[in-house]
Amino acid sequence: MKVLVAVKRVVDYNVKVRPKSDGSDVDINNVKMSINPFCEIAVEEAIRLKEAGVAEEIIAVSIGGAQVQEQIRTALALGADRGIHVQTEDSLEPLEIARLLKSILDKEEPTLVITGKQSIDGDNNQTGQMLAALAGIPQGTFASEITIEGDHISVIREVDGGLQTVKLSLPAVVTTDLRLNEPRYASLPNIMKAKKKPLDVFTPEELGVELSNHIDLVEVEPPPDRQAGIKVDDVDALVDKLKNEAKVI
Amino acid sequence: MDFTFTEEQLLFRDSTRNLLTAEVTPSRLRKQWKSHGIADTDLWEKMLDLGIISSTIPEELGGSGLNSVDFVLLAEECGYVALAEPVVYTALVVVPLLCELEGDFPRELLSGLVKGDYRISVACPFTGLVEDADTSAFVLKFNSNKDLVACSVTGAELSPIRSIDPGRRVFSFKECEPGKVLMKNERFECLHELLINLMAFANAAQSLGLSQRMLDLAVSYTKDRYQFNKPIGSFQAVKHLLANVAIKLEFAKPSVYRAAHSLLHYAPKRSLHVSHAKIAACEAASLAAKNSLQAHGAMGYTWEYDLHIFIKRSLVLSSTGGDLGFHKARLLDSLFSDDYQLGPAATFS
Repeated sequence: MKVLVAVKRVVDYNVKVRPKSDGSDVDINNVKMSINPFCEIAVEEAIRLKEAGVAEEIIAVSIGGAQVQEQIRTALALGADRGIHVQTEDSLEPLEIARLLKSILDKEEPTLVITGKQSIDGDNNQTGQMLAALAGIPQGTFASEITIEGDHISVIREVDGGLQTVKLSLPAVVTTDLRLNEPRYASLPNIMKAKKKPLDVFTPEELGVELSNHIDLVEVEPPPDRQAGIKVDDVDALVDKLKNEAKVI
Repeated sequence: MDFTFTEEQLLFRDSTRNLLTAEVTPSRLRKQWKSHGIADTDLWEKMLDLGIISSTIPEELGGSGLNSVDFVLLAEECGYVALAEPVVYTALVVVPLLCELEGDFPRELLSGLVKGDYRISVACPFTGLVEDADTSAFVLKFNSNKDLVACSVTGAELSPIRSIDPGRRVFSFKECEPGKVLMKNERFECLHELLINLMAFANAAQSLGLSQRMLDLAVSYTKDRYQFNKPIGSFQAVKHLLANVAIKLEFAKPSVYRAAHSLLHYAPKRSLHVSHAKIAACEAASLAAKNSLQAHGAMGYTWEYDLHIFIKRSLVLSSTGGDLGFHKARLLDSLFSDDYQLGPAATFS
């Protein structure tokens, strides 16, 4: 089984981001970048499938400028077998990313595609779903457990208020939720081996995808400063405020 | 000439940082302090799995073959979290020392380290004290004949020594039987100098990480702590204290990286470079400790706040591997020697 994993380069989750002074976007100058945590979970799941003897090859794909190769190399160091870099300097929206991934899908014909449920920068939660729709294959989103059963995959999904189990025919797209697994650390010998693993670079033109833009980013602003709290006299006053002012109970 | 670290070296650092920041929290360090000197073996196993322990062991013996330049960033990360496990000494002192030796036994010892069969410690060339001797199978030391020997810890007399840093587990060591000779005393001068250089370099690299940690704590605190309706970090008196630390640290880094390079390439001035690195890094750590403590005010003195963990470690690193007096004297001896070359032409010699 061939598994395709999408990895996105995002600002590290430990970094407190701030907008540019003109509010045109988030300021990512001199900011630590990492693999999107949900994509890291996707890579880990693919590696576990390989370790279990289910998957034979893992391909890590990322889209963006030259720097995204850092994240592909990290995925290779974690255990992916080869990388694909779709090189573009454009700022892409989920539909365009899904179209580019679809072209990779057509090229590689993987049995399973695993992506993060969303990236922590855009929070769109759309790419996996759009990719499945464009490719005309089933999708299991927000996965907290997956099991391969012959030519099907069973996905336990985290939905509001509980868990839902769905069974999909392969090939399929799975998007990962936080509790699917705990990613491993890249070991030093594997980091060294990653250097020798193949990494192919394509442009959108080479993949036959013409990029277009449907969304304009109007403004980015930080959340309002948190107001100072107040001390209440007793529990009754607290309950009253929670009920009548905050309206949370 | 490219002085930057490679992408691979930065990836080594990031991977180590991810593990250490997740695992070596101040609460874990405090728990270790309270364990009455019982070693925490869990983390060592994890670091062994990630190949950090065996990273500097040659590839033909099963390690990753990293060198002092590759490992210097990892040592900084170990310093940043005040790692209690003797990872840096193993990778930067024990392994390079064993790699200098010929014969089957040193290779056997290195193979055992890779497999995780045992740990090896080294006696301080100044005090004879051994860190983490109780968890080691062998201690490397110079005997009274100035031979380098590997002494078995089994049956040896170990007495714990109280350190200013409770995270450090130090012992006086008295072997019960003569150790196996690894190198006869004809190479004593050379190996003794190498051991001092390696220990001093290991401490200098960790001091960089410690300085950064103390600075980060102080910056974070002075951004959160308000006085006169402003964060105290916005006042020049506080801001400049911390800017001085940042400058001292930035200027200490290249000297440590140069020492790493000199050790790797057996540069003729390597001892001078190591001493310079030790002085620069430990002075940066000392200033970081002093100014961070001051920026915190009374809060910085409390047991409950984490700053003292790093201050104590910086004091220990400064005084071990040769104190500042020793390294300054070595620096002066080199600078005033007749054959010392000065000027731009000698910068990279």
